[in-house]
Amino acid sequence: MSVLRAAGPETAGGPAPDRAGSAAPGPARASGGAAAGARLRAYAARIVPPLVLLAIILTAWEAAVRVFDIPFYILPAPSRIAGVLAGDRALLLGEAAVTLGEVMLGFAIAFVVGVVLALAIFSSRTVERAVYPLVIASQTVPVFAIAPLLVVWFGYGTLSKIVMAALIVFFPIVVNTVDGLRAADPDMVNLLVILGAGPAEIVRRVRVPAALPFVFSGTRIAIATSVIGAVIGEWVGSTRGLGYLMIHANAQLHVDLVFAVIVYLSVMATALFWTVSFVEWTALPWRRAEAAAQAEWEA
Amino acid sequence: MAGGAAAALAGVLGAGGRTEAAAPGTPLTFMLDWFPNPDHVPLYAALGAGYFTQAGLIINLQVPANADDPLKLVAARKVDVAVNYESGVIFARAQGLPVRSIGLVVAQPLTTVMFLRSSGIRRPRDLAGRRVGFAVSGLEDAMIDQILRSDGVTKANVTLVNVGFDIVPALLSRKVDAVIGGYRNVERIQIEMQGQAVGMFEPERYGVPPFYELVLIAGDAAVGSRRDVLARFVRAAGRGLALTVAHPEEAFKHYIRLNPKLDDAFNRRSFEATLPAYARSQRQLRERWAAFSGWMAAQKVISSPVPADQLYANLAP
Amino acid sequence: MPAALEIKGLRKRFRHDGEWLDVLAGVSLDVGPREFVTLVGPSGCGKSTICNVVAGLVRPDAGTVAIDGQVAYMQQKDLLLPWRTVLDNAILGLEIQGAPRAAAREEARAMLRRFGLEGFERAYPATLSGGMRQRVALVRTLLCRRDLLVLDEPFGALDAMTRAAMQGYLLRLREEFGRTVLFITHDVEEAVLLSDRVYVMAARPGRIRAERRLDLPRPRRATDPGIVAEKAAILDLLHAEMSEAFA
Repeated sequence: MSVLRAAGPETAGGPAPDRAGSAAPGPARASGGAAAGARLRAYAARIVPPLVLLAIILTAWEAAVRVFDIPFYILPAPSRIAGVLAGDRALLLGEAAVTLGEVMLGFAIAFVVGVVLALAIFSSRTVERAVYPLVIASQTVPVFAIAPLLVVWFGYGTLSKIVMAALIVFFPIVVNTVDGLRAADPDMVNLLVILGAGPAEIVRRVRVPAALPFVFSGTRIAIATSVIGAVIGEWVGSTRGLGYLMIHANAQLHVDLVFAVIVYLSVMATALFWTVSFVEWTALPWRRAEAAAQAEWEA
Repeated sequence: MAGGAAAALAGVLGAGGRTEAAAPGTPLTFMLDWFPNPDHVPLYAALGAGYFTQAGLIINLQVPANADDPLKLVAARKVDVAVNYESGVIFARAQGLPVRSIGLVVAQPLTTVMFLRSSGIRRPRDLAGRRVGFAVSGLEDAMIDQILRSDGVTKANVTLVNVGFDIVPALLSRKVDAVIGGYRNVERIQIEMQGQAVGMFEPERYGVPPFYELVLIAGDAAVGSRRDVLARFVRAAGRGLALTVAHPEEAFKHYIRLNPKLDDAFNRRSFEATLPAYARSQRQLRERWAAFSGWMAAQKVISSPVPADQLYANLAP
Repeated sequence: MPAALEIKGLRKRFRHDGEWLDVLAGVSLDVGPREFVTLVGPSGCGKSTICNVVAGLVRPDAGTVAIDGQVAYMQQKDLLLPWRTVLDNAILGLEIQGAPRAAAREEARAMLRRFGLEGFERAYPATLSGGMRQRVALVRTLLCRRDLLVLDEPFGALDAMTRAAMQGYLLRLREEFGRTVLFITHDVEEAVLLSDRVYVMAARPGRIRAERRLDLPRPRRATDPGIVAEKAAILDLLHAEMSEAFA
């Protein structure tokens, strides 16, 4: 019947072609060149503004140092720092690798422990009441105070750095995962009950997928701040890593090198942040579809 | 002189200090190297006995927030005079900071490689295969390497462990067998007060050129344009040192009065241990600066030796 | 296999703002095998509660519910899992029942085609319109092969034209698949177009006010005189209800 057909395929033939500034830097319609062009434009729209802003900041910084004659040992100019970044390349990369290793290991541990704990908090009222407040309290202890304690308990080696990073990562993972598990639409849960699913199946089919965007959110935050944790951990009890390099350079008044380390740390944290976003983008195709549909709506 | 206008202004503003009645003074910001400790007794003695006031100086005493503040702030002309270390001056100068030493507070080395007697260590080569703790100072590698080399082994034969600034707990808990940077008058006392006997390798006995442990620093510009004011400062400090050496009890009383919280057994014992090391003269030796700078370069802690003339100035020899 | 539903004396109270609310005060109704029965009533008459009881989500305070077979439940919200494609959403019920995925997908593909959703199997629900999503939900409900379909205002959120199309789908499937349907709506015209029998409900507390048998020939059109008359009659009943309620 023609009446039925008319109600059929409307605009939902798939995600709409991207416009600049849309939320989704992803795939457009499957029509070759136009798609590639749109993709490139969208990509450029995301990259160019922050780069321009960065360029402005760096120029202003360089100018300020020169105009106000700021001594390099107080605030080095970007050009000086660039020199160190190039000249001490091998040293910086080597120490960065050490710190990155601590961050990744710390993150991995905290992620596993955090998710397990979140599941426990979610499933049991008793666990929630007992554990959740302690988790929150753990965040109020300043990182500086903990670092020496960790060294006492875990020794001067890499372990205390890993634990340090893990402690920082732990909190956002737990909180966001618990929120995520609670976020599942109760009607969807009921639907699965009616369809005959058991409790474990409901967790697997509904709660976990519904929680994933939240988990990624928490992960994004956690991994960027875990870099700081590893660095602070390295200030006490290590002879490798960017944190150690920083205090060593500082003791010898190598202020440019200190700033070069800071640049590396920022880049590392940012790269990790975007990596998590990228993993989420790849792992959750339905979120891409949602974003595209949203962009279309707003267009 | 140039100080006159400043002095008058200071007098009008009544810049904080112990001025009585009419005498105006030249204000000077003076930053310690770290929190007040027995190394500083002569300076507090000079303050307490009024030697700075008598020299026409109003001292604004400051404690640094970070360990490298004194060097940077003196170089940047935010602080007039500060306390620092011979190695600190050389590091700074090697990086191009315009600072130099204008006077002495502690003229002998105080730092050592320290260990518990009960560890059985007797000579440097006994450290081979052991763990040596340190706090990052920039010089720890060079120092331990020199000491070891003098006894036929090298840095490669020991495991260096960064223990942060709490070197005494690291040693006492046997997490390390020895520590670099234990002071004869500080950490040794602390460990002995815990009931343990201490062994030490004094760096100057094992090939490290003797160095001034604590010096007074000022910026090149000030040394040029305010030489007289700085000389008065150094002389007043020198009087404090003389008082301390001649009448230790009196000097210590000044220290306690200005730092009531430091009136305890540790400070007393530490002060007694420091007495032999305080500077008896304000005349700095060129050879000392040249030798130590050369040694730092040989150890590759700085890229090349800094000319001694850039490192010090005898303002009140 | 056709099923029957028999409800006798259903009572349910809910606690609301510290007070007990009588949502259902003794409701009795039945649905015969292959019958299309609709509940019509103003909001608050407990229609959804009846559905929840029948679906097994809520336990009544008193009364009996006898179902010959199993229930498939569809609501106004499509409840499609956003992280599954259209095809995988359609087979959700079958998957939970343990059916092999390949076979289930084949069956779903066929049914999606009949509902005009061919080509959208791999799309995600976010990219579909409301009407299309409800269609997928309908396919999911049907694939469960359960005997009694309980549909609680499934087309309420759709626009008039889409709703008309969906009603067509529903009738078609009734003819082809011969399922028993308990349908809820507040749209009288919809009730009259679709049903064999209509229960008119009253609210506060919820109870059956009247039952009407619709012996009208199919296919029905809104303009048919019989339809118009029936609609008027039911509306009168409902208006009487409302005036009483507001009196």
